[in-house]
Amino acid sequence: MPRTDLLRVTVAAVALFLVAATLALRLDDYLLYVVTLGAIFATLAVSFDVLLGYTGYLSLAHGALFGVGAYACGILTAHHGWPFWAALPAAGLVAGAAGAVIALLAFRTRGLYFAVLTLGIGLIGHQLFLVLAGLTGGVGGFVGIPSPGRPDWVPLDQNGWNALLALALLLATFLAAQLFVRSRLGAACLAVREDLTLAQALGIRVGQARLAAFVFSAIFTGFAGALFAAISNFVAPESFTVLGAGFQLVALVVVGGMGTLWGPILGAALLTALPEALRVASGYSLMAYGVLLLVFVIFAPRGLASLATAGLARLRTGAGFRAAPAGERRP
Amino acid sequence: MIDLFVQQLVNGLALGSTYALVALGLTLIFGVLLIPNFAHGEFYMLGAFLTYAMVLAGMNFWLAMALAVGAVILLGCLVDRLAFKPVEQAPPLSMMISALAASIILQQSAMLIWGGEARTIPAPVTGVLRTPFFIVTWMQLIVMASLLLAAAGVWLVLNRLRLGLAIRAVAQNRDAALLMGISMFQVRLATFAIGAALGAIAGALLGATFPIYPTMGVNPVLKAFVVLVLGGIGSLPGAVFGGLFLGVVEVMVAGYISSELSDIGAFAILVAVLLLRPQGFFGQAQVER
Amino acid sequence: MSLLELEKLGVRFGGLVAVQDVSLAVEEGQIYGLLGPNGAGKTTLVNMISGLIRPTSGSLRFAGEAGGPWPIADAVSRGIVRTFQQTRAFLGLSVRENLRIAAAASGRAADAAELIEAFGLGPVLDRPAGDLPYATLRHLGIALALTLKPRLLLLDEPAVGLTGGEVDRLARLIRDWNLRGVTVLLIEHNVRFLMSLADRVAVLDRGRLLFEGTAADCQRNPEVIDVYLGRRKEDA
Repeated sequence: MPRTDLLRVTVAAVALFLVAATLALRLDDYLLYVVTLGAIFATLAVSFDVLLGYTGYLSLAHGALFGVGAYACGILTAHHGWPFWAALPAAGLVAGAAGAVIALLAFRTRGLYFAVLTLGIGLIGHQLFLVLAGLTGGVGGFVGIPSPGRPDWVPLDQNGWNALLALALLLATFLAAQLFVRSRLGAACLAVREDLTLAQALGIRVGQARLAAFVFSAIFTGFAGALFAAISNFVAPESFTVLGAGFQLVALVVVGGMGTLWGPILGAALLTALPEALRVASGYSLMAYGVLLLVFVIFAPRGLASLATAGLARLRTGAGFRAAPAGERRP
Repeated sequence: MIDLFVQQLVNGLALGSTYALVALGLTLIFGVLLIPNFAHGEFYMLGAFLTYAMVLAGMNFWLAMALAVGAVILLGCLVDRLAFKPVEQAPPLSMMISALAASIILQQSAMLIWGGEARTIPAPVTGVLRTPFFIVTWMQLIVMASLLLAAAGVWLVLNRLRLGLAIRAVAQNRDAALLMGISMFQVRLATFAIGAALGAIAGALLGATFPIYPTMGVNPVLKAFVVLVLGGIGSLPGAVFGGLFLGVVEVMVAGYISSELSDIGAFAILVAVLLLRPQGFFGQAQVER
Repeated sequence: MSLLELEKLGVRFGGLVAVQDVSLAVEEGQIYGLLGPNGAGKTTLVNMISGLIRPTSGSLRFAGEAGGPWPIADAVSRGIVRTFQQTRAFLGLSVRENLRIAAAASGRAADAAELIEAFGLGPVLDRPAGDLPYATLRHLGIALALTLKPRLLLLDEPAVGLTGGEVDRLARLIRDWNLRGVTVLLIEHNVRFLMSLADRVAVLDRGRLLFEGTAADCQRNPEVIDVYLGRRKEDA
């Protein structure tokens, strides 16, 4: 049964990707850019969900890991002349390696201590982007990152190509995450999240499982960072702060629905589209993130995903809406 | 003659005093209620901005500060009601997320009201005290004295008042305390009030020396977490000495190595302490969260 | 050769001696009962055998292999699997997910369909474990352990809080799986339940082995009656 289920998910995801790409390419350049950024943040959110939603650890270091991927790509392409297609996997590996080091340190703690420790690491990362100006360009930012190379036969301009790449990365991340959570490691991660002691009693190597989850999320966060850098042609430390990118990831995943993988995509879509749709100043968007996050964590801790599921079920049965039981547990 | 080392030490102690004031409130709220109050930095920031607003309107600094502290106390209790009470029964992860959200909301509110640019509160007291070995501004002395007064005040409340006894009982064992008929409502209110007040005092005082801006609470609250970890969660002496220690280290790193590295130094201490001595240097057993 | 042999196993926490010099042997195929008043060290002993805590003295042999106790994951891979007091499951996940996790944890998972059938989990497969009735949750906890195909199953107070009919059903299940070759070490408070199942019994009192022998001898032993059985009868 799981195999046919995976097949169904894959077909649905590919179909949605094709629809999204077709629709997106009809948009004007500005909206196309919004879609591109939204897809990158959705990629971040999906990979973050593997750690937060499936394994139960709140990392605040992922904003910095996003930066590691971005700077790695920038340094390799702009300084060393690598093509984007070689820099992308390399950036993922660099972020994955950084993630492995962070994980080995951070998993010596848990709960709040894990959050505070990763918070400290995230801050160190952000400070390092500022201090290591020789590599990163410091506070002024890193300029002149080449755009992702576009083959001649592609009948798209650079903006369209960027959007297509971002959506394709989202698709690849989503499918990889689906494979991961269905694997034995994924099952072990769920066990870690739900009951560490019982997981150990069942002989699950909990250290291995949560390390795998952290590194998985770090690698794909690195890919997203690399694409972000190449698309923007410019990156600066303020894109990788703990309370900026790091916090946004938490908001996207929680608002979307932890532990669902598709919920965070909804969350990213909503939280990217909302400020654009309302045409509000960027000052309000972080505010909106905060308010939505608070409202969801209190009233709908399973996020948009559970609301959507409940809504669909209601449509299907035609029965009246039944609120989730008050004591409902969150993943 | 002025000895550079002693001068740095004094500057470090002054800076550390504000960290300690922030950490006192944070450690109290976490030690008693098990709430990782990321929004504590915003209590500090709002203490500064409310004082600023009233001083700008022509009010005396000290009166403005007192009113600001009162307002932040109300706000602290409101934050507890709206952000923390509703997720009391939820897993600890929800509490952390809720705290993050509260922090961002308060910060962005200040951004909307006052804008992002840095401002300064005119210092109520100017001038310096010159000694043979170091120079200290009167404002620095006031900050250090406030830490001593605040720490003594908190100690008195906890150890000499009935309410303090209740607070300590809840910190020891919440269920047992509830069975003994202690009012959780009062304890929560008092803990948040004291914690918020300490944060606001620190913010107002610091604002009289340094520029203030809506995100000014971020670094101090993170450093207060460092202090918490250094001193042991829930330990008041740990918060005081941890804060002073962190301040001195930062000033020394900035003075002798590089000012760019001082924040990295502080956070590296956080990481190292969490790894080597997660129970802190003053705390005993701690709550598994 | 015995399946499980404890050789003077003991542990102290700080100055407190929790378990002292416990030696006993469980034969392959037995149901071995462990009795004792609260605080006698029964759960501590199981924690040591299963590798959750390290003993401070003594050793353990399992299936002829010396060198135990092993860390918990190694113990599980050797076939020593435990449940927790009153048993335990992943409460936030569905029964199906619970069984999937246990199966993924083990390289050689037992036949899930058979366990689902035997433990009556079919009708509740898609319900969160946290919503299950008490007795069903117990069944799930034991089914999770059995998914790992243990050679030795350590059951820590599986019958606490169950009603008479539920206890009988549980006893039947334990006996069924014992007949299929799972050796059982059973900790229980419920003397009648334990005596009805156990081939051999050990009684712990204040961390020491007070008695070791057949169930029948145990019920006749004056010391045991004094310390434990007598008191329990008054309670009941």
